[in-house]
Amino acid sequence: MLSGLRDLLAGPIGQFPATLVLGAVCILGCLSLNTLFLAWLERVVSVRIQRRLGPVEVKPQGALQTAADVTMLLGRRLLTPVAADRHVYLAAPVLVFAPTLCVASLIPLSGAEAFADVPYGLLMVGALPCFTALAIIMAGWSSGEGRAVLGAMRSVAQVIACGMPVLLSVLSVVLISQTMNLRRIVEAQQHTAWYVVYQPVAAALYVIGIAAVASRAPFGIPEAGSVPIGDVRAERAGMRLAMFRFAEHTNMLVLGALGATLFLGGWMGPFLPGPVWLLLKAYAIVFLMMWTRWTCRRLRFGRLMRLAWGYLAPAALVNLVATAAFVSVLG
Amino acid sequence: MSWAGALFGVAAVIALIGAVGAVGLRSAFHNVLGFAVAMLGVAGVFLSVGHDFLAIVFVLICGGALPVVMVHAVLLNRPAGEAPRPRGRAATLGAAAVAAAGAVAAWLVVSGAPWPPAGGRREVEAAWAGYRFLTDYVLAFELVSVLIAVAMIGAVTVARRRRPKSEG
Repeated sequence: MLSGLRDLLAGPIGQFPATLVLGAVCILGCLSLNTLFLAWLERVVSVRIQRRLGPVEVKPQGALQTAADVTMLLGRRLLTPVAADRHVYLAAPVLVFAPTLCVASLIPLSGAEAFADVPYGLLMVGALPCFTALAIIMAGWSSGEGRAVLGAMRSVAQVIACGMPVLLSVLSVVLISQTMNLRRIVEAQQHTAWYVVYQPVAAALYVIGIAAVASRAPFGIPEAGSVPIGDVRAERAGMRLAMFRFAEHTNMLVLGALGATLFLGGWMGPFLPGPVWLLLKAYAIVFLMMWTRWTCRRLRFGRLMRLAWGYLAPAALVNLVATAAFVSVLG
Repeated sequence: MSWAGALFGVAAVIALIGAVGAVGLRSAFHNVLGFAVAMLGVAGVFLSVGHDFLAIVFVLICGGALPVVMVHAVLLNRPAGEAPRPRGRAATLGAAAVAAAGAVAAWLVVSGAPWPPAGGRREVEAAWAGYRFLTDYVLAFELVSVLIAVAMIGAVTVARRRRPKSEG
């Protein structure tokens, strides 16, 4: 379907701009809908798990609460702190979102459809989250507020500490599949079982790691309400705050889709179209993150660092070495 | 003009603007931002001439290093509200002399290097690059890591608050 649309557009404006325009419109549209859906799903999951009533003011049965929240955010006045570095302050929300958008364009939707089929796609996927860390520091520092800077430092420390086991567990998949092309990784799983069967440790480390990278509880330390820090969003309201929430929900879906691509066979599945299977698997991982968030208590920062550097990273390293030995012995 | 040519031009302009910002702006934080823009521009230049792998590796290295550099910039930056210190003439002249020497050295290396004849685009494979890093260029590879360690120690030393002796 996407190929047909691209060919249709390519007639008047050319192949390259047609791919750019179509990719940007489709990805941004889908991710906007995803944000609304995940905000609603998060509320439903939290209410069910914690046996709470939830918001019921917006009829019917509070189902339109998400729409009401969006309207409220859009209607709020935009304020810029006096001490803020204005240009960096305004650019930071967009830059927080941009790397996730790039990663989303790299994930193959089916055997024939991907916005960007890059030979070293996985390498790029590993590089781009670092720019999210960069944007977080920009957001914190530009607020001109000490708490936001401390929150940014915590966020960056968390992303770097927990991103390490994620990257190492992803490398185990590369060793088995012998490629860094995401489409070929999925195709390699067509001839064998899904990689979650061969790499259960890597899959578990990946899920734990992405929950921490996305700052989801029990790793939601930068935004912990129980400590007087707050995170980089401390000095933001309205659309500027909404952009951060947009980035958070998009990050969850993209990391879930990447996990589905690496460990759950990507678009593969019977009866339904490939993109639908990919979304179902991605939302299954997202649901796991939500379940954990509303079930487990939040870790302290020191304990998270000990967990990441003391247990997760060594476990991922041992798994990587064992996989390398296994692959080299079996050829 | 082809799309690759246009991309090359845009990426080169971005790299130059970033480089000017990296040395010309007065805040250490803004300098790092300019450096990040310059590095992304260089990656765009690699991409426009068809070296996808080099572009991605460049983004990977910069993406990993820049957050750490930026944290250092936050540590080293002057407190909010404090006016920037005027630059001394001796320091400016010294920096200009070092930059000129670097430019001359770079020109000598570039002009004297035995460049291979233009034979079209060459595909750089990950295995080939990894092999060269761990054999021919292992010393440079390790020296870079030592440089980063020295930079971290230096930043911590500079940023550390010096307590008065009476506080112990």
